[in-house]
Amino acid sequence: MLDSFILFIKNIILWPPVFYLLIAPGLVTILISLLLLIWAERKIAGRIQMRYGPLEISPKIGGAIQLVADLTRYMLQEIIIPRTVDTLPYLIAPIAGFIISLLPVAAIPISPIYFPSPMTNSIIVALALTTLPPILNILAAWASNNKFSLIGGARESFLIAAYELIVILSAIGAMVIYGTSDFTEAVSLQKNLWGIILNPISAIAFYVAVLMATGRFPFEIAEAEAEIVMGAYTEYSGLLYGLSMGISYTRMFVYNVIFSLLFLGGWQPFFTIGGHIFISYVLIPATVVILKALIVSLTMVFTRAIYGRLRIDQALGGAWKFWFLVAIVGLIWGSALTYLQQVI
Amino acid sequence: MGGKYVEKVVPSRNLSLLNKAKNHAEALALGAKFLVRPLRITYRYPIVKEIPDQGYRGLIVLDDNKCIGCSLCARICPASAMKMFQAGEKKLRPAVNYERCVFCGYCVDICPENALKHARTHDVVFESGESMLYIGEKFTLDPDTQILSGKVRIYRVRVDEKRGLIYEPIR
Repeated sequence: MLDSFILFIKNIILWPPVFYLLIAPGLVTILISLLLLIWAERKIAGRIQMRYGPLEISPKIGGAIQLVADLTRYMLQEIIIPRTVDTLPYLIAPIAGFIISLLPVAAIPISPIYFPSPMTNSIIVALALTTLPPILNILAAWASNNKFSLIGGARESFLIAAYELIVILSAIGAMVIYGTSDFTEAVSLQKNLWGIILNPISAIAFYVAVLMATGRFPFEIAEAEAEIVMGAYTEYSGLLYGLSMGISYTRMFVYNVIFSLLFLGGWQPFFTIGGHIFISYVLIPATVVILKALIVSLTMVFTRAIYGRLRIDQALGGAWKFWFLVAIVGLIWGSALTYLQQVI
Repeated sequence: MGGKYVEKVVPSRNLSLLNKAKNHAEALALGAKFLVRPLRITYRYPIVKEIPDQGYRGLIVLDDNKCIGCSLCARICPASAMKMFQAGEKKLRPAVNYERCVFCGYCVDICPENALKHARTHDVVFESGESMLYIGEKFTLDPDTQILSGKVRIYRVRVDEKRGLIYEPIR
């Protein structure tokens, strides 16, 4: 009886849709990496700015559970809803924003044989799903009925137009080389040579566009603390604020999973352990992909301690006048590589 | 005399792409250097304590054996924090009220027998107004010994040319 129950639970958890959306790279992994990334961001900024960073709660592990304490505080705090807001969109925006920022995971494979939903154009679907969360950001800004929120939403809407094109163009620059729009095939083609060596131009453009998309420094313009309090999320408190703060980190992690699949070889080097099908085909590839994504995310949070904040016109000028052209050059470079390969 | 006219428009630097890339690389390398070898100028205050140099005007401590009860400290006190109290037959002893004390150090300077001295710490918290009056036995306890005997690491501050303030561990 008990054995069959345990087997039932195991089968439910290992069922690909549930495993993907709950364990890896879904909710559990993203929450843990979220805590790790925010802690690492504060710690790195502390070290570079001649301080210690969070330390007081657990000195022996460097204050690593500070974020758990913060999360507990957010969960127990009263959620204040101002009288002037448009209540339903105000409540929906951060919740739906967090869930929708997780959504691209549904199209991202993290192992060669184990998909949430098998599809042949998963890169396009994943990129399309990453473009949704900013709409919820603008919805939050509009529903908050606050001038800081409105300025933040306007800045975000300016930035969307700038970075989405760069992200998609540089992803196409990689897709042209692999000749496929399927993540699994693209990763299996990177067995000997990673995409970042084949097309470094698109990789750099993608990296900078992700910095811009997720509000990392120096593009933290839409929620500039010193200028417009918290941008679109100024009026939020309690758990809603915690969720809204997590949106940009979740988006960054998801973008970086895409980045590591497109440019950093995904689950390569791929090896199997005889006799353990689940470990060798699911756990090890998932760990490799998530580690790569975490390392790229750590380099992104590292920029907070170094750069200042650009003005909106500087960021937009840089995006349209420089990085857009870089993305197009990367696309041309990828096409040229493909053409040369066909000729030779 | 009018002031000097200052052009408020900052000329754009017009760096070339190579120079920009070089500057970015330098900034990132500097950050990485600090990340690997941090130069910290803060310290963990309640666990790690900084001990100031000689001559620091901290709390005031009375040596009861040296005191002759001359009342000079009570007279010189500009804030009227020091008062004389009767301690036994024909014996006057000072008491200090930290609600008023400004830590000017006149009482320590004027004492003819060197019975008063400054402790080298300042860190006390009072829960009520009554506990701010240091009288009798309480006035003769040295707060340094209490703090230094606890489980804290003691640091001394040194000024370094490259790094600014440095906290060196003594114990």
